Amino acid sequence: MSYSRKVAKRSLTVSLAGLILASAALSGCSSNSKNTSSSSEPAGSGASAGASQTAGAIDHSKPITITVFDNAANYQGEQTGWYGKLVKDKFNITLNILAPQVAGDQLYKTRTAAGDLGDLLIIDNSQLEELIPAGLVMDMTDKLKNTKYLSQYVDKHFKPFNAAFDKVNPEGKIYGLPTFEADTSPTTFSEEIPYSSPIMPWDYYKGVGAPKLNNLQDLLNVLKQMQAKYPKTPDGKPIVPITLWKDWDGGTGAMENVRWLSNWYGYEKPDSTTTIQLNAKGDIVPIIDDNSMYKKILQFYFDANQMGLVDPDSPTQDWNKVAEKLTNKQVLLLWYSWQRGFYNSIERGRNGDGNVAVPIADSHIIQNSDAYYGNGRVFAIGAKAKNPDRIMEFMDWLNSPEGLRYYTNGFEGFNYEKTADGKYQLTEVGQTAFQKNTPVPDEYGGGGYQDGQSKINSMIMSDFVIDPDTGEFYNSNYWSATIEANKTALTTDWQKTYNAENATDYYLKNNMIDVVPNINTSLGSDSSDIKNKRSQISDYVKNTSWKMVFAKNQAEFDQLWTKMQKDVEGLGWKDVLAADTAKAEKIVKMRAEATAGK
Amino acid sequence: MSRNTAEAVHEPVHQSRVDKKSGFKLSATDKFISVLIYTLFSLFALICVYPFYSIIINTISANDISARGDVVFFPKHIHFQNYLDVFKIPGLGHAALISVGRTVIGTSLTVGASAFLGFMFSQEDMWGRRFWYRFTIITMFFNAGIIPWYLTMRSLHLTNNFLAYILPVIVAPFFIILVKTFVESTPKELQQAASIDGAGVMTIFFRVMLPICKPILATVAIFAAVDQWNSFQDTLLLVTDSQLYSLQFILYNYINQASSLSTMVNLQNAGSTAMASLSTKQTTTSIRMTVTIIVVAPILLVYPIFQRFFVKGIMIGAVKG
Amino acid sequence: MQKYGVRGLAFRKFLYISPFMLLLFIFSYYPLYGWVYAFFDYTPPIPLSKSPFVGLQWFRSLVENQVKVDQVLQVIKNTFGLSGLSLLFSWLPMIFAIFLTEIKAVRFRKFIQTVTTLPNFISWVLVYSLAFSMFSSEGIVNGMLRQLGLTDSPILFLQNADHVWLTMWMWTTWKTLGWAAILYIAAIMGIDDSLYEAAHVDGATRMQVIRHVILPSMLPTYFVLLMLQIASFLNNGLEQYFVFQNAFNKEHIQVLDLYVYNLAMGGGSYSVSVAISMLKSLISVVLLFSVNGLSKMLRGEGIV
Repeated sequence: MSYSRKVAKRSLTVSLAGLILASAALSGCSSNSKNTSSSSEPAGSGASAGASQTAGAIDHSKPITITVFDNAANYQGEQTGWYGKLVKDKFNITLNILAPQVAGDQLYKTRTAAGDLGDLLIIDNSQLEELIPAGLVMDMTDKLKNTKYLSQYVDKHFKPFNAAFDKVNPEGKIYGLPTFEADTSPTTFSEEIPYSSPIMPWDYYKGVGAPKLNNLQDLLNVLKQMQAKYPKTPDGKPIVPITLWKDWDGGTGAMENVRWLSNWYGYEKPDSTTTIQLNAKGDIVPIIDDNSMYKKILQFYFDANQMGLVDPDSPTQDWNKVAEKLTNKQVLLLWYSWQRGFYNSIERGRNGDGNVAVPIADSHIIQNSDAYYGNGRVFAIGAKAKNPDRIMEFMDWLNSPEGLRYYTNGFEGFNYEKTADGKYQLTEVGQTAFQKNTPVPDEYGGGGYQDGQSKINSMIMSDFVIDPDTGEFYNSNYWSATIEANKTALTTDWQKTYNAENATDYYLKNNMIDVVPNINTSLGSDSSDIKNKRSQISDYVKNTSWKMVFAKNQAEFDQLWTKMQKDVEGLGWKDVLAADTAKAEKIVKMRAEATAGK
Repeated sequence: MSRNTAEAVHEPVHQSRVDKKSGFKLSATDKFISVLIYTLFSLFALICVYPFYSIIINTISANDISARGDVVFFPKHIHFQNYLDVFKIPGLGHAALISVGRTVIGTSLTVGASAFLGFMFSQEDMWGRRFWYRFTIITMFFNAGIIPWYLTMRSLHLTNNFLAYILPVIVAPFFIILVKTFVESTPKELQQAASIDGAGVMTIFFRVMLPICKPILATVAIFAAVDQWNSFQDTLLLVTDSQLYSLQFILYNYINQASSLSTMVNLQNAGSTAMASLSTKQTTTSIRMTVTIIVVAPILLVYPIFQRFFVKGIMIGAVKG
Repeated sequence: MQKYGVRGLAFRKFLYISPFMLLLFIFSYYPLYGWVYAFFDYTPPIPLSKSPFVGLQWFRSLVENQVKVDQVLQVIKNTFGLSGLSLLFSWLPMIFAIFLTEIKAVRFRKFIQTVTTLPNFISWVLVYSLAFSMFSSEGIVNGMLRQLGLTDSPILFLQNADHVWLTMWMWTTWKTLGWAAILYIAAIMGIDDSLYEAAHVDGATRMQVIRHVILPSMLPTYFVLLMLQIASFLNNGLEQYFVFQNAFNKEHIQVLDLYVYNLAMGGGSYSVSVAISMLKSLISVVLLFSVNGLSKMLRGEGIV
């Protein structure tokens, strides 16, 4: 569960932004076309070339319902609204979504035990690895050859991904199409700010003189000054410089809040491992090592708490509470790039008010590249699917310019429009259609825009793919029109201060970031024995970490640490560490290959 | 003894028993106890009502004020958007019908079966009585695991089937125990008398026991109905046909979706030009609260009806007489 | 009676209940075949036939080394503490019901009876968010304490590990008392009217009626419920403790159900969870019959 949450969070940044605002294509009005078999163009009027593949042979006259088992969905039930109508009109398909995020892990366990997961599957890599030998997924190799759009990505994206499952897939067949693949390069990072980096309210930071931050100690001092100068929000809520929350620790195996600060100093925790941290050079460090970054960050939080900078409610609050505090601008230190959005707005930006990146001179961030190989899940077809050809046709359309535009940006003319220079810009409606759940015109299916969006909540190629019509990403945040519209006093002031276009640009220029190739594969599933040991250790480590942050004094901090080092041994630390080290080594190897092959 | 109390004794039989008990002598201690009882109950009622009241006023106050924790005693900036949004969920009406259906049908069958089995297990001459009773009771403590349960339901074709809501709960050991205990606390002569009059087992059950058991059956009905009304786990795993979705499932789905959406809405502000009006923007807590009220309201409407059975239970003495 | 012999009648009575026993068999007994998963290393897509047999490994793994033994002991201690506390006060709903029915003002009584069931319908998640808004450092309670000048730094009620069993018990009681009392209210309504009349003729006071008429009539119900409660000693449920747990109170709040859940959340295996629930089922049944035996010895009659 935690794993999917993590993926979800990450894809939030990558995709949601695009998913919601946005542009897209044309001819959305194709809704009236009830295509039949005779038509060579199954979808009606698309201005973009044949809405889907060479579909002549496929008969759409029979209405079908596809059961979509979808780890990414947060809604269970039939797809309704404008997207539902679109798919129904184009393909005579109803999507019936099963969402483990709603129904729980048991949904996967029970349905696989019964031997039929669903027709279209959006599942984790590790699940794909289990399902291939169990014969529950379909070999797509041949079907892909007949597709118009998907076939373009077979060699560069799908083949290498599937080939990496060599243990269960010795013949290199294609079973899964990874989700959210960017079409940039395995070593490019396209976003304007790293996923985790120090972020602070610009006006407060300037209010205490914007002192240069050389290290974490400087950071603590400046937080202290800011807290002293701004003890309360304008409406009287206390400022909590650092606020932590417990409910994302889930399957991380350690304190999630510690994990992401480690990234500032070059150490990341690879997905599906819990006991180690890895840097760009390929050094693997156990988190309970006395010199680990994990311990250094714990010490940082401990020091912060000693200085009265940590929210006393941290151990008892959940993420929702933190979100409220972010919305109220009660928090002075943020790290996830998307945390800015809770407070920042264009209007506030015009007044120079908002959260921005504030680099620390001695930091050296580790950042995964764009998800060139995907982000942890795959699209697959269930072995018992009754209409695999029609599912394939639908998936191919998802990947067509038309499908991508609908998915990320909605309707041309409604959400976005063409500018004079042939690019896209958001319409006034389009800028807020998601937040306001703007009613969609009846011809498109009616209902709210947000309610009617694709509940599949996943794409194969992501919106970091160039739209052939405009030469820009599908993601509307990166349209030149959007970037221009979003220029505010806040951004220009920041740019002047740091002499850089954006945070990523600054870190790259100053050699303060390592972009490591995004690796997307299954690192092998744990044996039951390792699973059990892992969860016991994780539970113990999380608990002790929290106690260390809130320890009364350094002696207690040290004593908790030593006791943990000793106790986890008894819980089977060595075995789990060995398993994680093997996983990390695989990552290091694949990264080297990706870098060499770029 | 005042005149008052003397009269009370002669009140007609259908008068509620509790009132009737006022007929006993009131000593000074009794009066003190009365005051104590009233005070304690009032205090306890207060701490039970306040959280609920607090939920209600928070659902109708501006969501941003509510999220800041500023709604304590009175609603602020009253609006009903939270409720309107829930009522706009597609399929809500149908789901409500399904929920009412499973509650009414399921509860009737559960109550009927519990009454009958509770009564039968009190029949000492039944073949293998003790064995079958134990056979029933110990299932309360069984947990076979989710996978065999699912596979069993599937092989019985109880996936995407309304009966999946009904059949598994018909035999409810806990309720059977309650009824049996109640039946055994009634005077044996009742059944004996009927039996001597030539009544068969079924006649005794329908004519003699059912009327007497009203209070306990009302209790069973309340418990069973609330269980049915609140359950959605079975829908999650067994039902993929949206025609069979229950109200609770739809609302659960709604909470889930909304909690991820409220995060997404916020994310959008990072790059976009406008903010949705904060005061009606839902938070996960506001949605949870709204859903709680919507789910509990029908229960609160129905519960007092059941309470009538508590005070008007037929007097055993009257039946005997 | 005339048509059938005594044994015929006895068997006919069984026939009446047999359809129900069949239902019970199908839905409660048949799925128990799933207990065999406890002895295998089973992961769903791979069928049982291809899963390795591991014998009692999962049972042994609960206590395979000192750290785990310590953890399990602490968990058992918590389970005993929390279950013990609620057993100790298991008579509360009964007393609640007795005194509630003593209230003469009908409207007031109905009002109390209705509103005291309200907390039962508020999910634990929501209970916790209400608790948080009251007891957090910015909450109402700390706000009041501050205004009264009683504290200068907020009291962190929710992460306080002192008396956590007691506070947990208080939350549970608040949430379930009114609801559980319904069972006893029904039992009070079932008391034979003639008993009251007799007591009245004897000139009994209200307290005497309660002591000599009502209380004895409630005991069968009480003992049955008590027995069931003892049998489910290990099932504290998990939602409440899950929402209230944090790093500081966890050591004392982690009951068996929560322990199992916390372990499974990190991706623990299905077989282990089956092993544990099987163990719990067996312990419950053993407890049930032990209590029953005890009851036979002490009260002269068993309950099941």
